[in-house]
Amino acid sequence: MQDKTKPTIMILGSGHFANPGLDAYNYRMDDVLAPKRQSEIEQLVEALKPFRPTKVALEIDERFDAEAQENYQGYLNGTYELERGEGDQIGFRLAKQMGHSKIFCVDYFPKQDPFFPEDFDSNLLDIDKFANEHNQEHLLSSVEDFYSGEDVEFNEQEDGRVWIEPKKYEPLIDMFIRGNQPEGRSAEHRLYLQMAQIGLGEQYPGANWVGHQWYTRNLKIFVNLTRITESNNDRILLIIGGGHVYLVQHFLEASGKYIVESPLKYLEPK
Amino acid sequence: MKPTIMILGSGHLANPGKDAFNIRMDDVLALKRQSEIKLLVSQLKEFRPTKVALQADQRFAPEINVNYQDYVDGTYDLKRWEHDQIGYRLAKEMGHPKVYCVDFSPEHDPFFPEDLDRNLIDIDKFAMENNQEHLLPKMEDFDIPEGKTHQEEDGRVWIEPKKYESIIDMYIRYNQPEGRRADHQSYLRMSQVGIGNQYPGANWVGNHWYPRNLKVFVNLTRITESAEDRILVIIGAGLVFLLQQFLEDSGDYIIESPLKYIKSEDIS
Repeated sequence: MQDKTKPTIMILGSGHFANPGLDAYNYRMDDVLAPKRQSEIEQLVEALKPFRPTKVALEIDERFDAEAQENYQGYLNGTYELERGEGDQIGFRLAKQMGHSKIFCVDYFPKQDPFFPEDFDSNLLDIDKFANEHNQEHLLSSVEDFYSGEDVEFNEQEDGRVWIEPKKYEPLIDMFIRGNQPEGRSAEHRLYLQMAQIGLGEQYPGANWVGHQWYTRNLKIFVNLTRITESNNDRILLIIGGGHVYLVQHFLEASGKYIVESPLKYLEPK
Repeated sequence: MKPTIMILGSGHLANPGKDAFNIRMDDVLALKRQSEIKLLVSQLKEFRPTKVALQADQRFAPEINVNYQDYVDGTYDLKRWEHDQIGYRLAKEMGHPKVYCVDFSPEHDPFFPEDLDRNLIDIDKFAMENNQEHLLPKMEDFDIPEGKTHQEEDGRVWIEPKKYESIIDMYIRYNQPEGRRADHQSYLRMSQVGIGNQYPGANWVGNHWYPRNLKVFVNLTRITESAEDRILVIIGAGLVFLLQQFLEDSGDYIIESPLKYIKSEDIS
């Protein structure tokens, strides 16, 4: 029986296919335009189709909406070639196959957040610096907390960002099954709550960062999902970086207004 | 082995009137109320707290502990608020040398400088001007007892309960998980106030409400000293949901419900 009393959302936690390298820990993806990866992506899209999404929502800030729609239209008309990003590779493909006229941009990543003006005191948020100066390194997360397997190598860049280089080939569907395990997502959330503890006395750099940056961004993604929800018949597929899954799902569930479906239902071999 | 925390959701016994909806408390210094409070304290004692944490900002800790010390020495009369009535009594009976202040409500929050554009967080104004009143909290969202209501000029509502409710029954009501979940839902609904690149709701919930609750959690982690700790935190019922969520999600605490200890019984 289908519950038609609430709209449904499915969150697909994803890695970043195009290696933007914007995170503290970045998983190195081989070239997804290679024929083998392309056929895996087509299989993945095929596996997700039975969810019958009415809308596909992507981790793109609203200010890029016009550009994203233009690309999608171009893709529908056969004049745009899919780029490496997961939004194109999974989102555009799935939206087209479902006959959607547009895609939805729900990230919150503005050029200028009014709560963080240019003259904002960065010490208020500088977790690493505070932890290093106050013997609280144990509260910082390390890349091993995220990837404990022995099938990867870690390469740290000069700016501290780490690349995780897989040592062997992992089929895409396995990658998504691994990336969408609830245990992994809640373990990651625990790391944020640990980081939040960095601080002493009246200083709360950890909680400032987790509260004002991380939580607020995820809350706005939730808000953007509520804004694109039009009816109880909506079935929204959100494709988003794995780190966002826990909080966005928490908001959706705690709001009491959505049915949340797990992508594992569609990804795992029957 | 993990430390244990029990969150006692509370009303504000001294009628500070700081919330959007305020339930008028009769005089808790009256004899009948005093014996009800003593019963509540004796029930909570079974939890065997090693520390009592109060909803007061750290900057008040010296004053609050001077008062607590005087109370232990018999030279301070308990005031009406829950810190004194429940917190001090319980801490003294357990033989604690001090009480703990774990709220975060500083005089100046660096994230809200004086020149901050108030429109960024003015949920009510935005909702009124943009036909989003349905997203604002309503009295029906909260498990408020029946009674006469009146609204102050600044919009705050006072509720004068029609029926007498014992302190025990009140605290059983304040600590129902369904009620706390409903509170949290009203925050998530409020966070939806906004249009386009305007997010007054999420700005307020994300930059005020959530960081405050997160910092209360952080303050609890700071006062935790060992796995033997059993911390009782007495806090406004509205903060219970998020605080409990943080404690549970951290994986570092055992949470006990106060409903295990608070029992309605005949005290006549």
